Amino acid sequence: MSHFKLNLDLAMPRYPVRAARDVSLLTLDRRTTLKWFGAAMLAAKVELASPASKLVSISARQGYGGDPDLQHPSVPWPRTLSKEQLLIVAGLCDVLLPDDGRSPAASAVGVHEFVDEWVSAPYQEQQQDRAIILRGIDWVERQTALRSSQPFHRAPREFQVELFDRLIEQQKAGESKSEMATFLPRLRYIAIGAYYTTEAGIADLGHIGNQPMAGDYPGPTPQALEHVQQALRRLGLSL
Amino acid sequence: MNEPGRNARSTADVFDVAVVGSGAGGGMAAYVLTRAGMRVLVLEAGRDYDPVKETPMFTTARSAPLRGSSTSDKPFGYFDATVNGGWEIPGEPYTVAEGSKFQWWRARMLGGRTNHWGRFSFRFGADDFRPYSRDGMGVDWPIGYDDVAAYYDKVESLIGVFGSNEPIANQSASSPGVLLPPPAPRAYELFVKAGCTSLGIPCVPMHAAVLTRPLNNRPACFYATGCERGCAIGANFQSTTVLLPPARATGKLTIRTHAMVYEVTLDPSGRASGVRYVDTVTGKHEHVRARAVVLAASACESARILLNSTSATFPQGLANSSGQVGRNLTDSTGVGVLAQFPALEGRPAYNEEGTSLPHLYIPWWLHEQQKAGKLDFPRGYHIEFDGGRTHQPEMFMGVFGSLVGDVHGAALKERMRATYGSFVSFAARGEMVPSADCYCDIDPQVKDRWGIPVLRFHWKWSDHERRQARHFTATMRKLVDRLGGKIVAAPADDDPDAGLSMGGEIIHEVGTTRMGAKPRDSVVNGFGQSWDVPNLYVMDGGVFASNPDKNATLTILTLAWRSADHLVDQFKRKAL
Repeated sequence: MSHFKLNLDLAMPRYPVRAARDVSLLTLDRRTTLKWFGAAMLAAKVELASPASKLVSISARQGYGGDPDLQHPSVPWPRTLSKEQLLIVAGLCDVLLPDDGRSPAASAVGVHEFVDEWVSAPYQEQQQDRAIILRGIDWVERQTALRSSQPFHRAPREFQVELFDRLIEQQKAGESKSEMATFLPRLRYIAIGAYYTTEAGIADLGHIGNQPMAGDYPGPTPQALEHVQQALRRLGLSL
Repeated sequence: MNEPGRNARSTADVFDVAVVGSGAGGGMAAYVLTRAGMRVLVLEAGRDYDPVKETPMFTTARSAPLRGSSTSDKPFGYFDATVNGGWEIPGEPYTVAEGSKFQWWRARMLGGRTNHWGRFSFRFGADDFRPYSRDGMGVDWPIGYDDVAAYYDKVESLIGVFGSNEPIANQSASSPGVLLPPPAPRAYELFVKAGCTSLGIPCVPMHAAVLTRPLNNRPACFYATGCERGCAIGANFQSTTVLLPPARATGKLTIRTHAMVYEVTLDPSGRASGVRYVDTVTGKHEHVRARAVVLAASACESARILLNSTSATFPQGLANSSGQVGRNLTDSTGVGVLAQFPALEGRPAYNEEGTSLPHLYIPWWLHEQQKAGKLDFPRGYHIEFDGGRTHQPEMFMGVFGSLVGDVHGAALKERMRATYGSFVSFAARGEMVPSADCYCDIDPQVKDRWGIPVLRFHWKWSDHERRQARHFTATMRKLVDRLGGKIVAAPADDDPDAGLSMGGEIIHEVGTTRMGAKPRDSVVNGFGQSWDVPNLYVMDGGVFASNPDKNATLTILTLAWRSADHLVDQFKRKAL
C-alpha cells in the first residue's frame, strides 16, 4: 500500500496507487520514474547546486502536516513566482494546451497558477521540480531576449511554438546532451495533470461520475457494451 | 466511569480486558467482548476519529493542495483517510538493518488502518492452513479451515462483503446468503476478462467489504467517492463505523485515545496485570489494570510491545520463551504492470466509477499445478486490475500525458480524449515463504520521542518470490498481447528483484507472534492465547502462521472474533 514514493503521481497513474493500498505498484513506480523521466532527480540535484538559477530556498516553510482539514482544504504556503515568470509559464502552458474550440486554453483555467503552487510547495519532489522549472523559465527568457524584441508571452504564436519545439528537441537529446532535457517533461506532467483536473478538463475527457446513485450500480450502457464487443470481435475474442 | 466510549481517565479502575489498538483486531475484540458483557478499555495511540464528520465525500482533486498529490505528509494523497500516519511518523522512527529494505505504514487514529484499507476480502482456502504439508516450507497452522468457516460467515454477515462463490481450487465458499451481490463489471473489466478466458485464466467477481445492499442499519454504497477516503455513510467496512459504534452502545466500552502502549505489566504470579502507556498529549506515563490483555496494535507494534516488556522472568521479552516474537515476518509480494489498449480508445462515455474498487479480479488459478510440482515457485498470487475511467481524474492525467507521445497543442488534446479510459494497471499480490531473513527486533540504540526502544527491520526476498514475480510479468505480457495492448510500464528485465515491492510496502505484514501447536516454536496457541501468559491474547495479524495471497484483514477479523469468544469462555469457566 499502497503504495510509496518518490512520487507516485509522477510515476504512475492514480489507480495503481489506489490499488496499492492493496494494489500498489510501488517498486515499479520508482523504477518507471527513472525510466520515463530520465533521472530528473539527479538533474534536480545538479541544478539545485547551480548558482545561475533564481533559486529561493523554501525548505523552511511548512507543509499542511499529517492531519489537515479534509473538509476544507487550503494551501498553507504562499506562491513565489514573479509576474514575469508566471506569464512565461502561462504562455508555455497555452502552447501545450491551447483553446481548440472544444475546451479552453490552459491559462484560462489557471494552470499557470497551479504550476506556481506546485513549485512553491515545501515538499521534496516539488522543490526538485522548482529547480527544473525555474531554470527552464530562465532559459525561455534568455532565448526570447536573443531572438525577439517582445517578451515571450507577447511574441507571435509561431515564435512560441518554435521555442517549444526546441525544448522538445532538447528533451529528445537527453540529459547527457542538454541541461534542459528534464524541463519539458516536468512542465508537461504538472500542466496536463492540472488541466485535466479542472471542470473544463474533466468535461473535455467526458468523464462521468462523482454523483450518488440509488439502487444497483448499472454497469456499462448498451452503447459502451457494444463498443467492447466490437473491439473484442476484431481481436477474435468475445464476452 | 465517564461517558461510555469516550476518554474516561479513571486509572484506578480495573477493566475486564485492556485492548491495545482499535483497528481490525482491536475493534473486533471490543465488539465481541463488550457484547458479552465485559468491561473493556480500548487504548489507541492516535486521535479520536469520526468518519461520519470527517470524510471528504465528493470533493475533487482540484480543491486540494497539489491537486491531492502524494506528499511526505500524506503519502497516499491528500484525501486518504490516514491521520498522522504514513511511512514515517515524526518522533516515532524505526530502523532498517543494513542490506535490508523495508517500509512500515502506520496510522495514528481511532480505527487504525481500517479507515483507508483496500477492502479486498478473500477467505483463506483449506490448503492455506497447511502450507508445510503442501510444499514442506514454513509451518502448518494449528487450526484448519473448518475451525474458522463459521466465523468467516459471521464476519462477512456483520461487515458486509460482496462477491460470488466460484469453483476454483483452494477458494472457500461462503454459506448461502452471506455474500452480497457483486456490482456489475465495467466495460474494460469485461474486455480483460475476455482475454483471460482465451488464455484459460479465470476472471471473477471481486470480494470486497463494500455494501451493495443495506445491511445492519448501514445504507448501500451510492457509487461515488473513493473508499480510501473512508465513508461518511458507513457503506464500507471501517472499525470506526462498523465495530466501535455497537461496542459503545453496550455501555461497556471505554476508549482512551492518544494512549501509546509500550509494555504489558505482570503480577507476582506471572500473569498480565495491565499495560503501561504514554499519554501522547501530556507526555505522562500511565498504568492501567485489567484482568486480561489483548494486543491488537498491528503485527509489528504488538511484537514491539512484547519485546519491550522485559522482566527477570522474561528477559528476552514477554511471551517469548519460544524466541519467535518478531520472527516470521511476512508481507504480500507486490509487482505491477501498466498497459494501454488501443481497442479501448474512443469508448462511449458512461459512469464507470462504481464502488471505486475493482469489480473483477484474477484469483490464483494454478493451485493444482503448483501442488503437483509443475511450477518453479511454491506459493500463489492473485491479480488486482484497475483502470479505465474508474477514478476521478487526478494528477495521474499528467502521466498519461507523458505516454501519448510528444505531441502538443490541439493534437495533444485529441490524444488525451482518445486514450482516456484505455489504460489498465495489473498488480500481483502473492504469498511469500516465511524466512529466517525477514524479522524485526529491537534496535539496540534508537528510541522514539518518549524513550521507547524502536523496531529494527530485516528483510530479504528469496528466489521463491522472484520466480513468482517473473511468472506474473510473463503472464501479463501474454494477456496484454492477446488483447492487442502494449505494456507501458513493467519491471525491468535486469531487475535483480524482478520488480518486487519493498518489504512492508504492500502493508500486509503478519506473522511476528505466530500461532502454533506447540509452545516450543510458536508464541500463541490456535486461539491467539499466549503460551507463556494465559491471560494475554494477540488478536492482530501477528498470529498468522503463513501469509496467503488472500489479503489479511478479513482473516484478522475472523480470528479475532474466534479468539475473543475463547477469552469470554475462559472467563466464564474462571480459567483466567
